[in-house]
Amino acid sequence: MFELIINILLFIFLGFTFFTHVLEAAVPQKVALNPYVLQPDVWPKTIIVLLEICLIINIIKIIKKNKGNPDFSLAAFGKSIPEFLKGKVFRGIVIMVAASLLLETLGFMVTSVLVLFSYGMLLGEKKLPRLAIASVCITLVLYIIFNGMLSVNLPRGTIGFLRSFALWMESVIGAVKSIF
Amino acid sequence: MSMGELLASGLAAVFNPGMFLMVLLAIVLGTIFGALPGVSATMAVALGLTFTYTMEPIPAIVFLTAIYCSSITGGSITAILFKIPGVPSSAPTTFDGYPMAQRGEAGKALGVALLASAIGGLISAVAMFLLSQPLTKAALSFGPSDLFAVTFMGLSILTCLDSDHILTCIISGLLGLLLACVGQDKMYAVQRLTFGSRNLLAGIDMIPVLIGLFAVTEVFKQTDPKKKRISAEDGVTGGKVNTKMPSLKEIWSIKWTMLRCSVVGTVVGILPGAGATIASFMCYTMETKLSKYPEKFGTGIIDGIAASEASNNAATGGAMVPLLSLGIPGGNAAAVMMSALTLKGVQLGPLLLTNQPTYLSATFTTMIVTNILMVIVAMGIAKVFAQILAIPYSYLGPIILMLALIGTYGDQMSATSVQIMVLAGVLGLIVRACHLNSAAIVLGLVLGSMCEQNFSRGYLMSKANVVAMFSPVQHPIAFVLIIVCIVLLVSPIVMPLFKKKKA
Amino acid sequence: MKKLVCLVLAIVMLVAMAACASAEFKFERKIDLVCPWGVGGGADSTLRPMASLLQDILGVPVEVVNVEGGSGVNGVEHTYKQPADGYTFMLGTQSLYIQDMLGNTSMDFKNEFECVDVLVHSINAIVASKLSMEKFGVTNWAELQAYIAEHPFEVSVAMLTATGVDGASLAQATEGLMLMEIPYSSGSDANSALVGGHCDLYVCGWDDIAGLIESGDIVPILALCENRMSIAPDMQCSVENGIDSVMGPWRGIFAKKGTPQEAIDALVAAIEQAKQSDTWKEFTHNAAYDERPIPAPGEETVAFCQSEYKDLHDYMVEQGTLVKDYEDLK
Repeated sequence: MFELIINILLFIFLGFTFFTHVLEAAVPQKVALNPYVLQPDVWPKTIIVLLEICLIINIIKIIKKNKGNPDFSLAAFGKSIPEFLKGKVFRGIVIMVAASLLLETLGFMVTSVLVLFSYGMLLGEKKLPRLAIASVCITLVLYIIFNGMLSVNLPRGTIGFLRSFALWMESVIGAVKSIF
Repeated sequence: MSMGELLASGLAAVFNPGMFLMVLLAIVLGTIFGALPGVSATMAVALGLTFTYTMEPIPAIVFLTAIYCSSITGGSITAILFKIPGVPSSAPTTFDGYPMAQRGEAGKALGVALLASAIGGLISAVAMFLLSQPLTKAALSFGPSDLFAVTFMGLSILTCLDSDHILTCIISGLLGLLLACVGQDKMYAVQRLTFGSRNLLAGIDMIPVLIGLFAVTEVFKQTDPKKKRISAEDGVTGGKVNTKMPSLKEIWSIKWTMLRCSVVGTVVGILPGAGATIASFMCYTMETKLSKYPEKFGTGIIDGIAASEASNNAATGGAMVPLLSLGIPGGNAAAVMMSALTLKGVQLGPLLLTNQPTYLSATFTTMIVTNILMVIVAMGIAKVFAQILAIPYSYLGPIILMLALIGTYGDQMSATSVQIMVLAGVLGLIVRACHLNSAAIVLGLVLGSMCEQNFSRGYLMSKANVVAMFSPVQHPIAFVLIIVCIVLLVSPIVMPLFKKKKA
Repeated sequence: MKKLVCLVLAIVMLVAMAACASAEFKFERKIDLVCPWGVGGGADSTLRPMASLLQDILGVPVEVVNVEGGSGVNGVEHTYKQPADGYTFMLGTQSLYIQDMLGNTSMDFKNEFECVDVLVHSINAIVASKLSMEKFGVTNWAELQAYIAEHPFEVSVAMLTATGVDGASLAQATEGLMLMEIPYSSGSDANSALVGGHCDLYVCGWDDIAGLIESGDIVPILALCENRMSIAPDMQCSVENGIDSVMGPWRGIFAKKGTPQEAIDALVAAIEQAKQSDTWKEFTHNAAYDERPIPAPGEETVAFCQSEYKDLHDYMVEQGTLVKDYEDLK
C-alpha cells in the first residue's frame, strides 16, 4: 500500500511541477530568440513526461499484483502509521533532522556530542555514563583530526559562548601545531 | 628521447633511498586521507601540496603523484567497511564489499579491493606510458554528440542493474536525472525546479545524496529492532574481525575480471569529463552479464569488488593522460594535480615530452611504483581500519553518522547539504520500501548534467537537427554508441518475448 | 614665519603619524579567506599564493576556505553569516554582481559587501582552434570577422558564462555578428573541444589557455583590452580595432559591511606589501596578470566596481534577466 501511495503522490507532484516550477527565472533574450538552442525547460520536461508514463505503468502493476491481498488496504496502512511513529527508526530520523537544522547554530562540537549520545541510547546502550564520556572523547578526536589536521572547517556555532569556545579550541590546536 | 631512455631516467629519479621513503610516506598519508570520508582525492592532493612548498620539482611531482594514486584507492576502505562511498565511482564497490564486511570477511574484501585497484592503476599507468599520444588524439576526437552517447550508454546500463525490477530501475534513474536539473542550469544559468528556495540554487550535489542514500539509510535500517540487527554489545561481526586476506586461488579466479575492467576503465577514463563513475558502473554490469553466476552479484562476492575497483582506479589513472599530454584535466582531482604541478614549474601539455622529459617519466614511474608498494602498505592500514568494525554498534552507528555529517559538510561547507544528506537518508528508506534502486538514482544524478549539456551542445552544433547529431557520416562514434544504447535499452523488453516464443 | 609654519606642519604630521601607528590593527588569530569557487580553479589558484604571502607578513595563519556552488552564491552566503569582526574576508569577482542582480543572493550584495583591494585583473581574449583557422583559411581578426559575416551561425564560439561576464564581453566585441554560442561549464571541456576542432572560437581569460597557445593548438586572435599584450605582441587588441570591449575577469578581496575599518586597512596594507614581493610578481607574470594596471585601493577601486556594475547591469537589462535593480545603476 505504501508503495502505491508513494507512486501516486509522486505522480501528482510531478504533474504539478511540470506546469508550474520547471523554469523559475527569465530566460535570457539571446537564448530565447536563438532558434537552434535547446531551451532550458525541454530536458527536464522530457524527463518528467517519461517519468509520468513509467509511474502509470508501475501503479497499474502494483494494483494488479496485489489483487485479492487482504493487507492491501488503506485501513491496514493507516494502522501502520502510528506504529512507525512510535518506532525507533522514526526517532532516529528525528535526531538526524534536528542535528542538521541545529548544526550551524550549536556548532560542530555540541551537535556531535548530542548526536553520539542520543543515537547511542537509541541503539540500546545501557551504560549511560560510559556513553557520555565516550561521546565527548569521540567528538574531540573527530574535531582534532578533521578541523585541526585536515583543515575541514567545521561550523563554530553562532551562539556567543559556543563560538568563543570553538575559537579558543582553534587557537589551542594552532599553538600545538606551531610547536611541531 | 626514446622510450628506453625515458624509462631509465624515470627509474633513476625514483629509485634512490630518499625518494623511496617519500613515496612510502605519501602512500601512508594518501591512503589514510582517502579512507577518511569528507577528504576526497581532490582534497588529499591539496593537503599534500602544503608539504611540497619547499621541495624541488621532481620530489614534489613524485610525492603528489603518489598521494593522488593512493588516496583514490583509500576511498574503497570506507565503502566496504561503512558503506560510505567517498566518490560516486566507488558506489559499486559497496554492492559486494559491504555484505562481505557484514559477514565478517572484511579482510578479504579489502584485500581484493586493494589488489584490483593496484592492477587497474598499473595497467593504466603502462598504457599511459606507451600510448599517451595516440590515446590523447583518440580522446580529442570525441565531440559533444559522441560524449552524449557515452554518457547515455552509462545510463542505459540502468536496465541491467537489476533485471527483476527493470521498470523501477528506470524510474529511479529518471528521478536521478530530474534531481540533476535542480538549480541554475549549467548552460545558461536559468533557475529550474528550485521551488523558490535559495538553498536549492546551487543544485543538488552528488556527495550528500550519495552518503545519505548509502551510509545514513544503512544506519537507519540498523536502528529498527525488528530487523535482525547486530546486538549492541557485540561488534558487527560478533566482536571478532577476520582480517584474513584472500587466498591466491581466489585471486587467480578473478584474473580476467581484473584485466578486462582495467582496460575498459583506462579507455573510459581518458575521455574528457566522462570519468570513473561510468567506468565502474559499466564494468560492474558487464561482469554481471559475463559471469557464470550472475545471481551472486550483490550478495558479497569478490568478482564484484574487483570489477568496480579495477575499473575506477584505471579510469583515474587514465585521466592523467590528457592532463600530461594536453594540460587538460580529466576530473576534479586531476585538476588539482594540474595546478599543483604548474606551481612546481611543470609545463603540462604537448611540450612536456620535448622540454621536460624527466618530469614526464618521473610521473609514470611513480605511478607504477606507487601501485606496487600500495598493495603492501595499504593492506596494513586496511587491517587497522578493519578493527574498527569490532566496536559495538551503539558506538559505531553514531560514529558513522558523524563521519557522514563531516564528509558532507566538509564538501560544500553548507548546512543545506547536511540537510539534503539526511533527507536522502530518509529517501533511502522509501526507496527500499518501494523497490526503487539507490544506485540508479546516484547514476542518474551523476551523469544527468553531463548528459544534458553534451546533448544541448550537440544540438546547437548540428543546428537543432537531432538526426544529424548521430549521422553515421558526420559522427560515426556517436552513431555506433547510440545503436549499442538502443540494444541495451530494448533487449530486456524484447528478449523475454523471444524466450516465450521458443518455449 | 615660514620656518614656524614648516615646524608646526612637521609636528602635526609627526603626531598624526604616531596616532596612525597606535591605531594600527593587529591581527591576533587565524584569518579566513573565503573562496566561493572550488579547489584548483582560477580563483582558488590566485588566492592561495596570496594567502601564504599574507601569512608571512601578518604573522597569523591565513586559511583559504573553499565554499563552492551556486555560481559563487554559497560562498557569499557563508561569508555573510560570519560576524564582521575583521577575521573573515572573501575573494570575489564581477560574476558575483550578476548573481546579485539576478536576485540570487539573500542580501543586497552591492550594499552589504565592498571590494577593498583588487588582486588581479586579467584580459579576456578571443582565441581560435588551429584546425578551424585552417578550415576557414583565415589568419587574423579582420579576415575572421569577414568570414563570420558571410557565414552567419556557421562559426561556433565556446564560452564558460554564456549569460554572464563572458557573454557580455563577447556581445560587446562582436556586435552584429551571428555566432553560434556554445556554453561550457568547465574550462577543461572547452579546451578539449577547441583542440579537437569541435568548436572554432573561445572567449576566455588569458590565464586559462596560456599553455595551449604556447604549443600552437590554440591561436590567439583578439585581446579585449586597451593595448596589445607584451606576451603576445602579434595579437591585435580590441581598442585598436575600434571595438569598445575591454571587460576582463578580475578578482578582489571583499569585506562585509561593518568590518572594522582598521582591520580592512591593515589587510589592504599587507596585500599591497605582498604585491611587491618577487613571488607574487613571478606568479602574476606567468599568468599574464601584469599586462594591465589594477585600480588602487580606495576611491579608484570603488569607482572601478561601480562601472563594472553598470556595464553588467546594462547587459542584463538588454537580455531581460535583471531581477534586482539598484537606484544608482539606472
